[in-house]
Parts: sequence; C-alpha cells; structure tokens
Amino acid sequence: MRLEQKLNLWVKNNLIEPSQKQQIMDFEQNRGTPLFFGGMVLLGIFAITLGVISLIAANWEFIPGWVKIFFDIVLLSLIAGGSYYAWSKNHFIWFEAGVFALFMMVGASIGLIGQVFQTNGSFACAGLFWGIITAPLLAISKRRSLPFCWLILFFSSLLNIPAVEELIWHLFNWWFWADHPEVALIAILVHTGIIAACLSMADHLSDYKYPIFSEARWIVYFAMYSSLLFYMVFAAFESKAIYSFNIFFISGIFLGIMAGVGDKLHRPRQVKANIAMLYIECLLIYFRLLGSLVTTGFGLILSGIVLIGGLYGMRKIMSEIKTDCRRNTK
Amino acid sequence: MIKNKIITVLAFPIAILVLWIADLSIRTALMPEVTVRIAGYDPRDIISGHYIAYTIDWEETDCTQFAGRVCPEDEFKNYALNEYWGDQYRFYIPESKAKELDKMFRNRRAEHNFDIIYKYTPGFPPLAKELLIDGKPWQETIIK
Repeated sequence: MRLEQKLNLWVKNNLIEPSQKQQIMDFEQNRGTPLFFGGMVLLGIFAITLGVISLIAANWEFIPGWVKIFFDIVLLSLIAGGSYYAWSKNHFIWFEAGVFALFMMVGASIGLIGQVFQTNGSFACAGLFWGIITAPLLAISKRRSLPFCWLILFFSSLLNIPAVEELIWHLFNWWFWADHPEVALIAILVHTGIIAACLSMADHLSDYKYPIFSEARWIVYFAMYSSLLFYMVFAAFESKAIYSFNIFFISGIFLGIMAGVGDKLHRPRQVKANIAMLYIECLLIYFRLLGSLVTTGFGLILSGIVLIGGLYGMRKIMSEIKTDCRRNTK
Repeated sequence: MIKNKIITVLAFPIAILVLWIADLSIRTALMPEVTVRIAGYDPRDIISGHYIAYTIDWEETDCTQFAGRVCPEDEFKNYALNEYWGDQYRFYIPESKAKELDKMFRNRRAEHNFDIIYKYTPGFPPLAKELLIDGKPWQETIIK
C-alpha cells in the first residue's frame, strides 16, 4: 500500500489527524532520496568501466606494456582519491560512484596485468582474485549495486572452478535423480532456509549497515523459489503419482507456512508472493491429474474447503483465546 | 577513525595490484628463458581479450635447455588450465592481429613452427614472454 493510501486509512480510523498526515507527506517529499539519479550514475559508471575493460582486452600492440600498467595505476589512484574527496565533502552519490568504479577498474587491471605478463590464468582465478581484493569495499558502500555485482562475480567465479563445478554437478545429480525427489526438495529448502536465516541474523547483528547481507539473502530466496517452481513443474510431468503428490504436498505446506510467517511479520509482499505460488501449484495439480478428472476435482474442492474452513476455524479459536486472556488480565 | 578506514579500504586493492605487478616484473627480469614447441587455436577471455590457446609439444621441444637435460612436463602441467579437451596454456594477442594469427595457427601449422619463449625457473609458475613463428617474433612474420 502506498504511503498516501495508508495515511488516508489512518485518518479515516482516527489514528492520526489530517494535519499530521500533511506533515508526514511534506516530510517524505522533502526528504527525497535521489534514487533515480544515484541509480543512473551507477549505471553510467558500469557502462563506462565495461567499455574500458573492452578497450583493454583489445590489447593495443603499439602501446608498450609498462605504459599501459603505469596509466592504469594512475587511473586507479585518481578514482580512489576522487572517491575519498567526494566522501570528505559529503557528496555520497559520487563517493558511491567512485567506489563502484574502483571495483570495476580493479577487474580491468587484473585483465591488463594478465595480458602484459601473460599470467595464463582462468576466469575463475581472475574473478576470485578480483572478488577477494575488492571485498573490503563492501564495508564502505551503502548502495546495493556493488554487493549485487560482487556476489554475482564471486559465485560465478567459484562455480567456474572445475572441482566446485563437479561437486555441484554430483550433488545435483544425487538430489535430482535420487529415488525420492521429494527428499531432494526438502534438502534444498532446508539448506537455502538455513543460509537465508544466517544472512538475516548477520544483517541484524551488524545493525543493517552492510547491504551485502540483504542482497545475498535475496539471491538465496531466488534460488529457493526457483528450485521450488522447478520441482513443482517436475511433479506435474512426473509419471509416478506418489512422487508428484509428495512434492505438491511439501511445497504446499512450505508456501502456506511462508505466507503465514509473512502475515505475522507484517510483510504483505511475502504473503502475496507465496499465495501467488500456491495458485500456480493448484493449476499444476489440475494439469497433473492425480488419478482421474473426478478424483482430482474432488481433491481440489476438498483442499479448498479444508483451507478456508481450517483458516476460519483457526482465526475463531485465536480470537477466543485473546478474549479469554483479556478477561483474565482484567 | 572513519577517515583512516575509508583511506585503507580504497588503497587496499591498488596496493595488492602494485605488489602483484612488482612480483611479476621481478620474476620476468630474473628468470632464465626456455623455448617450447606449441600447437593450438584462438578464443577470447572475458577480461584479458584474445589469446592463442595451445598445448606444449614436448616431443618437438629441445630438452637440453632445461636443468638435467630433462623436459619439466609435470611442472608445466601443474600450471596449465584443465579444460575438457585437455591441458591448455594461453598467450594473449592484440585484437587487430587475432584473426590473422588464428588462421595461420589453424590452417598452416604444417608449414610453420610455432614456439613460445618462457621465463622459467623450477619451483615458480612459468611466464610466457614471446610467441615465435619460424624462430622469429610473431610480429615480424605477420607483417610480411
């Protein structure tokens, strides 16, 4: 719900005065974080530095290697110096732009050094080195662009290492082709859930100062829900009905719990997203036909009735418990 | 305190890169040269540009230039990139000459000898210094 709609609702229910609503609206308008401008500056920096990487990769033979390296170090120093200057003058957008440019240009420099000295490294090595030496920049950046690019770089480099790639492939094979795909689904949900919980805890313990944790959590959620969707589609086409039933059952329970948790924590988007996934699941169950059209039809009708009845009953019990508690405290 | 943190963080990646450049420069200057026979083709790296990917032909390499007159195949293999088709090494080349070199390397390998001069000392990763075509730097052959 937008701020204005929310404030109107509060005024209507006598929670705030109309004058207070106006004061809040004025405050929010004047606070005006230049999101669009900042975002466009970072996008521009991204495009420019990608262009520089491309120019460096062209390997200009008429410029001696040491001249390229010298100018590269001068450029890096100018970017770092400029970032510091912007920070000292409280120009935070330009400071963020400088930090992001430094991150990208370190990658360009690694490419250049590899080219001049013929270091014979793979993308995985260069990417990991790039990620590790730019990791401290994450501690001073408050925007999400740098953590997002850094995470993509780090994990794509890590997954490019042949041994890691092989391990993931083995795990995926074992999970997916195991005799029980529902076990694989539970394993994925549990692992991603634990990682997301650890990231939430780290974010909370660091007072939400470092956007890397929330950015990483979003990536984990993306992996969790895309895996869930993959297994739901898999269940729709799986020939063994018991596997399909188990997968639909597990994903239904999981989505229901996540929507309930979102409701408790006042996260409307979480509730809506999980319910949207449940709609998809219902459709997939209908396509899968667990048994015949008649049994699937009765099954879906019964599920709907149980869902509505169960929730209605639970709400009633909860409100009765609350009333009893109030009576007892009086 | 925050000022020092900002300065340290901004200077850290540059300092690491400068140290790396210094290490590579010292090794390039001090290590002796060895020449090995090669075969391969030309793809592209995301950040360093075009390169010739090659394998070393130890059968055709003069092993007398190495200590004990033995070719250090195993040590070179340790620093190779393990691709699906086998061990591979890279020599970065300018984009403007990549097509020509690629053509020469793929189609006229029987007519020419391709060698790489390495800076090499046992115990350190070998650093490729120069690509030779018929015993001359590749630039001279391509201009002809």
